[in-house]
Amino acid sequence: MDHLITDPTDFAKTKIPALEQWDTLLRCHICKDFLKVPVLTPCGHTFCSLCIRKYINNSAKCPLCLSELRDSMLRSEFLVNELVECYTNFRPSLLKHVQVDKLNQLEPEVIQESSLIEIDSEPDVEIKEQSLTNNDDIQIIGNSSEASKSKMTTVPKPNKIIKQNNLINKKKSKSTVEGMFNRKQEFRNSSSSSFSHQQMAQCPICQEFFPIRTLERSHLDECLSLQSLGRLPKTNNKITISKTKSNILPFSKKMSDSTSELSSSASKRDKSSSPFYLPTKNINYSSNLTSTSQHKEKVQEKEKISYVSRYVNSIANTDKSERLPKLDYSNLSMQQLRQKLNALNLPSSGSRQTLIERYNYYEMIWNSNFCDSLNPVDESDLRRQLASWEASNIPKSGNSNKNTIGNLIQRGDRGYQKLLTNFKNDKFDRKAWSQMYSKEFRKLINEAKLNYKKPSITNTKLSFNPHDAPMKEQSHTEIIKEAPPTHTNKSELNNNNIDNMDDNTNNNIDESKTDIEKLKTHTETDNNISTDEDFSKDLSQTLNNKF
Amino acid sequence: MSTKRISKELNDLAKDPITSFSAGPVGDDLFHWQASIMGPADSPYAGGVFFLSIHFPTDYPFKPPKISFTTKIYHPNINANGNICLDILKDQWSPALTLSKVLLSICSLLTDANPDDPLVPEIAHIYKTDRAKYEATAREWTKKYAV
Repeated sequence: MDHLITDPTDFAKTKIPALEQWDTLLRCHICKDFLKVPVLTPCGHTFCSLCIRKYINNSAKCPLCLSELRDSMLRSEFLVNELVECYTNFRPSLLKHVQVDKLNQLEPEVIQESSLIEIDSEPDVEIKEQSLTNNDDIQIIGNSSEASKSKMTTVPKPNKIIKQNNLINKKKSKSTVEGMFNRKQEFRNSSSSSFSHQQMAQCPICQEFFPIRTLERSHLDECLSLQSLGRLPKTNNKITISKTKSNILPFSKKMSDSTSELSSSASKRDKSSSPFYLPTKNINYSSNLTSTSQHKEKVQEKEKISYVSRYVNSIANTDKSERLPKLDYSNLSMQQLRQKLNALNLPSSGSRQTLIERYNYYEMIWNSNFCDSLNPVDESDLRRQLASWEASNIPKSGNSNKNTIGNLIQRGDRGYQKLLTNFKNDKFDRKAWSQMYSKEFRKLINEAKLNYKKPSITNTKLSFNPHDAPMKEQSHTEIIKEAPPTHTNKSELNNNNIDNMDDNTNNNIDESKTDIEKLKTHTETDNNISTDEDFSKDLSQTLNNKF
Repeated sequence: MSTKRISKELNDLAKDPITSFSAGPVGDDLFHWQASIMGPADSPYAGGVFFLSIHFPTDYPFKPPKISFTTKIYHPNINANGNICLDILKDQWSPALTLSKVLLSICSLLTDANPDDPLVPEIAHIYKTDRAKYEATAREWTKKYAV
């Protein structure tokens, strides 16, 4: 997920456009990515720990409401952390499912959120979750038309974000409830009149695909009675099952019945979660969903438990952490500064400015790690982070300081730094890089040759770094370039055909040659475009390995 | 981080285009963008298309993007070099802002100039004392440079 640029607008054209907002809400407003180690400000806003700490270093105010903010005021939000991780975990499949015409692949979200609600005891957050899930729950029914109207919450208002969202979401859900019937009609119309992809839908219970009409009219009924007769017994709401078993009621009535039962069973398990199940106004569909979510909850129990238990156990972590103080550099002599760095096992060479920047960055990642993070890493890991940051961010001054952390990760020759800075300035020197990494590339060639014999092995193993597509391509080209002349053709073939090995391995050499030409030119342009951040990340990764 | 964030914004703009302006990188350099703003209909700039050049600092979004008009424009808050006097481009910048929000602010600055904090005091003076003259000149400049 890290190397992909995901975007809330991914959901804009899916069946549940409201997910766009949900997706946005779980993102940091600074990096626009999903919250990593979220922290809460006193003004009620949430950011990534590193993002906000980095920002506070320059200006001590909240980016959203501009109220005063010091890094000592930040509090970690374990719940949000789990929410985000949980969400990012199932986001790809969720996206896939809502794209490929389905009625409701929302369940995982609803379930997991509700499960969190059940465990957690903070009333405020609870309400938030409720309203959110509620909202989403109803949006499923509402489908695209109505949900797009309620796009406004994407950017929360400065003050009291959580509570406001609450209100907004609640309002929204109410309005959507009111407009439900219309929308249902709309939905029916669209499904019957247009020959669109919406015609097929998955049954939320048996997961089979049916035409929507069949699904609505008969299948859901069948499936539910089947379910109540025996499919569901693994679940814990036995009360529900036993009751529905005995009842043979008309569709809608039965549905609403089961909803109330579910809600009662839910409230038995945990009172705090009951309001979530209470909107019994929604007759057919929502009750469907509620029961489905209940059902699916069991299926996903295993996954969810890890997040929940992690959340429950997370609180203890904060106590043992030790905050690293900010330093008043103006009152520190060089000597004292060095001592401070030495005390932290950091290299103490470089100019005063370098030392200050080094300490600042280290203080930032330290506090983020030990004060905010749920899974703090070891100090040595932090030092490694610092090293890779320094390598890419602090311009090298002079070549005398052999003990700097930057030098440690330098690969013997100083050319690397130059290449890196060149690369950062969008001047990518392919020849130099290929020289520098000739060893690695040789290794890759050998690997490729080995893989050639085993067609089942995928492309990624060939690549220098499997995480980065441009990098992958580059390594391919380099393999080609570096290969000894006698083997060139073979390795070319190898690289090209490794995917469709089964079909045509040897018969179209010419074709693959032209392909190679294309690949080469393609790669060249690609390399220029590839983002330097990704690149330097990969670099630092490899460097770290060496380090 | 900055590249990722910038590509996200680019993504956003591509997926959800806004009618009043368009923006995108110049060539391969993700940190150097170009944008065009349509003169708002309810302003003397109506009918004109104004080009802007945008530079993202390497520590974006912690520092604001540098934006300036490349098309000449007659406006109390925009000087002859194209520099824009807009608080969110300076001390009021926040990393929660995005380029599209900034460009929208610039659009609204075209509609409602801020003569009390002018970059070009002469234009601000005319704006305050002889609004008709200001509008006529602005329309003339728009016709001359931006159509």
